[in-house]
Amino acid sequence: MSKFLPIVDEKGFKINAFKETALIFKRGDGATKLSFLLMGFGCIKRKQYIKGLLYLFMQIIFIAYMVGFAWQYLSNIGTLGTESMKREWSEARQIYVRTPGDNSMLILLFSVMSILLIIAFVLIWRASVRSCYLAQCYEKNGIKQPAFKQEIKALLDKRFHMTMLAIPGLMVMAFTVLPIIFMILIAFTNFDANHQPPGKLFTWVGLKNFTDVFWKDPLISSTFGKILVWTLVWAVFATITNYFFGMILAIMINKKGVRLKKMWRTIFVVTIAVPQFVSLMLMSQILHDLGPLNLMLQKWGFIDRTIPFLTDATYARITVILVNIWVGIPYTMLITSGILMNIPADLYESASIDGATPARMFFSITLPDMLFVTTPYLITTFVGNINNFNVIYLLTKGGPLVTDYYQAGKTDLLVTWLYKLTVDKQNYSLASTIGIFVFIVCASLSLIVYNMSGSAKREEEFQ
Amino acid sequence: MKKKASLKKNLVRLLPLLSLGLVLSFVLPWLSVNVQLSPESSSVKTGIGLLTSKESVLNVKALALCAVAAFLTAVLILFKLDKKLVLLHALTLIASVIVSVAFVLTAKQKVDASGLLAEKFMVSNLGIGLWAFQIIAILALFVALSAMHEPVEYIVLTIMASVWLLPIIWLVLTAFRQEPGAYTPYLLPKNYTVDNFSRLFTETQQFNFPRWYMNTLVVAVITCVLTTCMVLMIAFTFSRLRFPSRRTFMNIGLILGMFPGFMSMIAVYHILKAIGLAKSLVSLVLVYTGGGVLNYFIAKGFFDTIPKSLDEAATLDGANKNTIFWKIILPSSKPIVVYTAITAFIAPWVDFIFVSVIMKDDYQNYTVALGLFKMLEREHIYEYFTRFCAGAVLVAIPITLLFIKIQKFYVAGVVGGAVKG
Amino acid sequence: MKKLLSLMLVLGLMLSAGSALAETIALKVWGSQEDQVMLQEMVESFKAANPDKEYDISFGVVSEADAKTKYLEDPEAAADVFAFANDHLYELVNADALYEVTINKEEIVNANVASSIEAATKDDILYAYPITADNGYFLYYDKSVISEEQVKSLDGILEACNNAGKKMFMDVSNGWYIASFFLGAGCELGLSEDGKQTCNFNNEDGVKAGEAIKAFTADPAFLTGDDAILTGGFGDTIAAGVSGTWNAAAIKEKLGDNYAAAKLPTFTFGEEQKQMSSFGGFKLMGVNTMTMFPEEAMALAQWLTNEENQLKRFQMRSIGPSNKVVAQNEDVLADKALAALAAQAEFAVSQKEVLGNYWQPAEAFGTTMEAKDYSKDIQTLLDEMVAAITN
Repeated sequence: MSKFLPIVDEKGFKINAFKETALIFKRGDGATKLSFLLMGFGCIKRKQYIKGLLYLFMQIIFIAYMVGFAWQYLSNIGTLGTESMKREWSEARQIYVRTPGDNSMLILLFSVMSILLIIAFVLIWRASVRSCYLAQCYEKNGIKQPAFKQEIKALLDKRFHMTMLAIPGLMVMAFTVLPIIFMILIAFTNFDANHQPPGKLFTWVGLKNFTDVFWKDPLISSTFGKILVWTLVWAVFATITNYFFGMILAIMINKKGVRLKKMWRTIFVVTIAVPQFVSLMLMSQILHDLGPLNLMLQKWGFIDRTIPFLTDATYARITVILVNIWVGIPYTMLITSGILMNIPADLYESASIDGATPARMFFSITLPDMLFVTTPYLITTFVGNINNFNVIYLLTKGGPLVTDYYQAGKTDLLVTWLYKLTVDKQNYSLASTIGIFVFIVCASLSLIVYNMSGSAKREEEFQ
Repeated sequence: MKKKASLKKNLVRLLPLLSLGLVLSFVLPWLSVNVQLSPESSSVKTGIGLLTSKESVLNVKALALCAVAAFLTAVLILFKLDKKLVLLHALTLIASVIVSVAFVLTAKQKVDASGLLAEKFMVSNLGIGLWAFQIIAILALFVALSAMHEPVEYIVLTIMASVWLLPIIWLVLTAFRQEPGAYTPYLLPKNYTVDNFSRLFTETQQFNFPRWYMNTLVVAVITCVLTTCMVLMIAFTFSRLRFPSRRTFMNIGLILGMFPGFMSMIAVYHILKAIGLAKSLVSLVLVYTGGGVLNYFIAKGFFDTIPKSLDEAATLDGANKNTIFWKIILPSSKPIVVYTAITAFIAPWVDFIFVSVIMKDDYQNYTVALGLFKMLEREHIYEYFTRFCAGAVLVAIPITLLFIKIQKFYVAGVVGGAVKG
Repeated sequence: MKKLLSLMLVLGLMLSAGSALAETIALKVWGSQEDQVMLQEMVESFKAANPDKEYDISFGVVSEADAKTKYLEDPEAAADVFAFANDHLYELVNADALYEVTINKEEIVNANVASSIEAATKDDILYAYPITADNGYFLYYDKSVISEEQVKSLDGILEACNNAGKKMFMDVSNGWYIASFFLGAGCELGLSEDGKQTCNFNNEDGVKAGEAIKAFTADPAFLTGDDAILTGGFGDTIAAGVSGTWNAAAIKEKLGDNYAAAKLPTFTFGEEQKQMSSFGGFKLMGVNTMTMFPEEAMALAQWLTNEENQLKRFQMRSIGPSNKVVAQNEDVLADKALAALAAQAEFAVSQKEVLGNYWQPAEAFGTTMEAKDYSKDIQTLLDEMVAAITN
């Protein structure tokens, strides 16, 4: 920004934000000090009227928001509400009149929102203090104050990242960050069907849900363990099968001498273009005990009794993986086709002169190159498969149900279990706990791999 | 090189042998078949007798013709080795496979209709010969193709393509089926009709398909535009601009994308309700856009591959970052723009979970995905299954066309971004 | 400052209240898809009967089975008046979802059969308006295949079906239907003092019932599935099926003259024969505590469940009435399905004390039986099932 800000220590390193703010307060003159209370005052005094008034305006809005709206929720955050809905007999109306009480969910939701807004406000406040200080420094050193227009212009160049990230950032805050924080907090409450706002209150229960899931409640924790194992097995198989078969398909289509490449590719692309939920529901109809596939096999005498593709635990687990291949290969095919075309053809030619078999060539040229470039893609797919709601839910709904699982079936993944707990059982707190766990697994896995893989390190090299 | 162009002679010698097997496989197993041709008659006909019988239910003339033709061409090859002859032979083999598949279908239908033959006829009696016939034909085709130095992958690809397309074909056929119900005791529809399509548009009392289609289209277009803009903005920022805590922001973005989306949907619903947007199409646009902007990694990866020297040259000419974005990055990023746009456009067509949480009982504001999903609920499936298929076809058509049209960009975009990024 | 705020609040309230009075009364009704046309007619007649007020009544498609779940998702967005199955009463009352029926209570209690009032009552408070008394199940059969003697026992029916190469349909992988064996064996579902589900399906009698289920599902004539399969296959492949009145019309059409209905058969319980029990359910109409217009909503709920409209329900959809007068109507008495239901009612068990936790474990047990997965014995399976139900 300038030689005045950020304030550096003697070695030339930036000092942390708290120290810097304190230092500004110490060094500031009266107007700057007053700006700590009355945002933008320093700016206005130094004739940066528009900027100063904007800051002041934000402060007023913020205070109005806090007093008029946020306080009623924030003040209850410790208990999540104390008064449930009241019921009183009204002689005149001959009914039990209801007066609404506290709504724990809204208290929590709006408190989280208000806290986020307070953080945002503190950041703005700090920016305002800094810019008042900067104005003071400019005045002291006889530098002309930058016009408002100039600062706007900086938003298109030096501070372009702020401009670019502002709106998307806001969207992400409102529809991703806020709900996620809310959801994480829910895991520490007893929000379930018996504590359902607005009729009932829910409250903090500490780590109860976590202990339940991991060891306290034998039924839930054993279900959790079994589903977790299956989720990982599924994710590994689904990812690997799709990757290899997709690659083989791509190699076949791209092989030199195969004609009508575009036609072959289009045939497989058609299956992607049919919306996934349609093709999956179609599959579940086809594979139903009374569906066309069983019907055909039975009519033509291949089998005596129907094959329980989706109703027997083992069959169902194999079926979902197979159907996932059907659904997923075209995607892998598209992506790997592109990479295959980039592998230098002379590598293969020299290998074939050396007398290498196609299998050799695949394992010594194609596969290493593929693995090298597609690691990030593989990770994304793996995480995607851990969270693969559609394939499981639309095919088997998690079934077949078994008696030793808690509200779940043999093909349920953690996410589908979570969904059922939320939508069918309204057990939000348990669902959130599982969600957090899923998240921890996915996030740590992908962060580690992403930051270790070539792509992050090579970021600069590429340019 | 000359060696390559010629035929693989050793392989070709196998062809007549295989063709003989073809002919034999087709005749021999039949000798053992005992069939009573009509319930009244006590006469039992066996094997070849079936072919000549007047009441013949098995029309194998085409099959026999193909097998004989394959055999003849194979014998001819023995006398005169010629690429054209091998090609002809390969064609007769392909014809054999096609005819035998068609034969299975028609014969089964006839047998079913007459009710004369045993239940397991196709497997236990006819089966061995027929399956052997097909396997030998495919094997011979394999030999013929490789003798001609043609890729044998065609065989595998054809089989795979049919596995992939059959369910889709079944979907289309069912969309035209007249009889209602999800499960029918037969495969091919008995009667065809376009009623399923027209009723989607005329019976809109409860399931207002045209309205849903418009809803989805509007939401998809707006979401597509907004998301594409934002994703490109974020991707550009992370790829081209350097600012404090850039890596932190990127990691946060990555992490946020890892949360199972519908875990937070209850909160999203209440936020939307608090700002007065619950049960509205606007809220759908907001939710899809909010979810879509986090998919910036592929676009960022793509931007990373555009040489930075281009921007530097432009900066020397006095362009600011804004100009660089519009004048340099965007024009060379057509594939990734297309990729991002398609992904964003498709989201509203396929999601049914968020819509159901947001729209609840407001049928008028459903999207096609949720609407179609409702049709398959237990109480509706019998009446609406064929209409579901018709609706699914109507949804699939535009997306399929879109995909076929811009496949190239999609591949280039995702490859450029996901892989190198 | 505070005074000013509260003054403004009061003013605002008065304004909104004032405008509400002048406004039309906006109510929303939930009913199942099949009921929509009928509901609209009933609402039109309600409006005509109450010309003094301006009503704006809208409809939402939420079936009785889903009403509880949809309600709990967001009570404020739920309908003012909604139909639900009586086994959800306990949970709805628990969530303080229902207005007590206080206006015209006497009249409602007198008009409906006692069991239906009982089903809508918890702790001596009436919470809902009975709509139907037919949310139960019984046996439909094909007269040409199964004789009146054979239909009395499960074994007889299965024998007849096997002889004719046909199937007997029962959705065993469904807690609602599978309970008929356990309840028939004398096992019980109840509530503990702290409001949790209790269940003794894993006692000695329960195991015998479990064995009966195992034998039934292993029979070649046994067929499971959902309503679509039942109505699709009746007459062609299915000769007997356990279902409720909602399928009466479809099955009647399929079977024609061979259409018949009876109470559920007996099943082999160890050495003896025991009568299969069933869940006897009622559909109720409730008034949402979140409604802006409680009195009007109650009036509407009462209207939708009155004598005239229960008769209309029977005429339009063959739904069995809970209203005493309608129940004695000639046509109602002549209805074969309702007669069978009445015969079964003697052995039916109230569904009121069944909580949401029951269904899935029971379904899981049924699924295991249908899949003929005998890797665990019946006792173990039932122990696991009961553990999950009472969790």
